[in-house]
Amino acid sequence: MPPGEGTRRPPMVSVRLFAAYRDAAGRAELARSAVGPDGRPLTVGALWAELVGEHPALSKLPPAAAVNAVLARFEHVLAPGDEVAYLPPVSGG
Amino acid sequence: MAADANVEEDAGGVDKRVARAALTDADIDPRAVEALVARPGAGAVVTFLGVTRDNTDGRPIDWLEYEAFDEMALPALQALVDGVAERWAGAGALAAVVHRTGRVDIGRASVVIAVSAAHRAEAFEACRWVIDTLKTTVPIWKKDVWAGGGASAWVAGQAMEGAGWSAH
Repeated sequence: MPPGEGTRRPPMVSVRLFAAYRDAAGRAELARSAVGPDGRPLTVGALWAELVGEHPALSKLPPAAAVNAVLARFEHVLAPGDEVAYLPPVSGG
Repeated sequence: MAADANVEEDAGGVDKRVARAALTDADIDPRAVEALVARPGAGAVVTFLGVTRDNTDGRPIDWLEYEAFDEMALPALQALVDGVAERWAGAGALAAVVHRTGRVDIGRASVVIAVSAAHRAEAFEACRWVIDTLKTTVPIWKKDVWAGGGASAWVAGQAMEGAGWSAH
């Protein structure tokens, strides 16, 4: 950021949505604040709850999550710059 | 790098530098996957093909569309290859797995798994373990595209191992 700029950019995480979740949210990627309204870092689960609030269709399927392409539990605390992916039940094979 | 070649080859003559897990948007040749597990000590090669059915619960479909989270799916496929080598080490088992992405027409292979081992029992067992485990550990999704008009639906899947909150 150039020196002297008045506003500080909030810490962000990037979110990726796959398959049925992408369809439910209408997009594959979005940028979100890494902290909640209380200023504390969000967990994977808390961010998911925010997304479900905005896109109720997301609640139809129970998610798994990955942070930086590694499977993560919902209590995992997000850091600025993380990429969190939400994964609907898988159907490979 | 001739000096390194010996280091990368194990006692059973397996070149560990060869990639034995892959995602591809092109047709899979099962013979090419089998070639990845050829080794002098093998007495059996078991190959599994998952192929696309022409219907889901009786509803006719035109083709299937596969989507992968590549950065995670590829390591997950590699973990299956490594898992076979570890779990069936005594049988000298060696596995290869290639999974499709994109449009897969009816009757084509969506996944090909080949396992070689000293004897057939371990080769069958390990091949079965790979496809069963793949179903819950690899982030890949498929969508039915129904006959007559292009309507489609994601196929109901299985929760990934390790999903959600930790059990307390």
